[in-house]
Amino acid sequence: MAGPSSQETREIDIILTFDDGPHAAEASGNFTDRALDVLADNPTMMVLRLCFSFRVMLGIG
Amino acid sequence: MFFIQSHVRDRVTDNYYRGNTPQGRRVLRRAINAGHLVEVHTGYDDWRAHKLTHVQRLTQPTGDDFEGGLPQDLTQCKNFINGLIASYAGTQFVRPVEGVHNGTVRRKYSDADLKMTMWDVDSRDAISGETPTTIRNNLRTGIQSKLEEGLTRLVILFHETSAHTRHTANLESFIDTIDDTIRDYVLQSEVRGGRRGSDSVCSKLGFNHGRDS
Repeated sequence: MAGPSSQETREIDIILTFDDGPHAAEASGNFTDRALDVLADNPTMMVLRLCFSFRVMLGIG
Repeated sequence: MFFIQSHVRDRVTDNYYRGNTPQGRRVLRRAINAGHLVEVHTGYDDWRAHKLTHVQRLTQPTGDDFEGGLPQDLTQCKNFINGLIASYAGTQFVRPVEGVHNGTVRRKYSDADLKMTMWDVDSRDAISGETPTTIRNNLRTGIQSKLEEGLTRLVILFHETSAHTRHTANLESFIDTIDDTIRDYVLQSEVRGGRRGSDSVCSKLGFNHGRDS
């Protein structure tokens, strides 16, 4: 019988990479600052220690 | 993860590193303090037979390639990033120009103690003719494809300079699309037949239902 102890979660890591550096912040309206705001406000995202990532935690059981 | 382009003259500031301005450095420090990675996107591609780099051709000549070549470029860019904030753990990754590489440059990356990182899904946000709608479709199909292959860590390519991605509302919608795609994919895979064997998508992804235990 399945129970809480047999339910496992699997993490799917999504790493967003931005290739152009913050020169866009200088030339095109401070994109990176606003991107940081968006990512900080996104409720599905956990900012990890090392990565610009969020994890979708799915429990199936 | 933000990549800093090196060996390029910023069109506005004429800096060797994009972001090497008071405003750029402030943003980078904010990113690091928020836990993001800031890494090397070298603009020096000495694998090419010709001397001009891709970025040079796009912007303006920076003169002859300097004597130290790619190793010097990598070292300089690492020093620039690592010097932004004392507490930063240090750069770890490098992305080559246009994602093109060969054994020669990969060895130089390794010698510089940098791991080359490419991408699993290209949003194509920098491609002419793409729109927010097509970018969302690109994300959806690309992520679905990689999940079918069993990958559980996906690196997605964006560009801050994209006319679409630099708009906050679009970026929010791209993130929502990524989130929805993953959730829908896994849940629909279960609905599609309730497979529990080794062919199950969830099995490939490592989900363990524990129903047989």
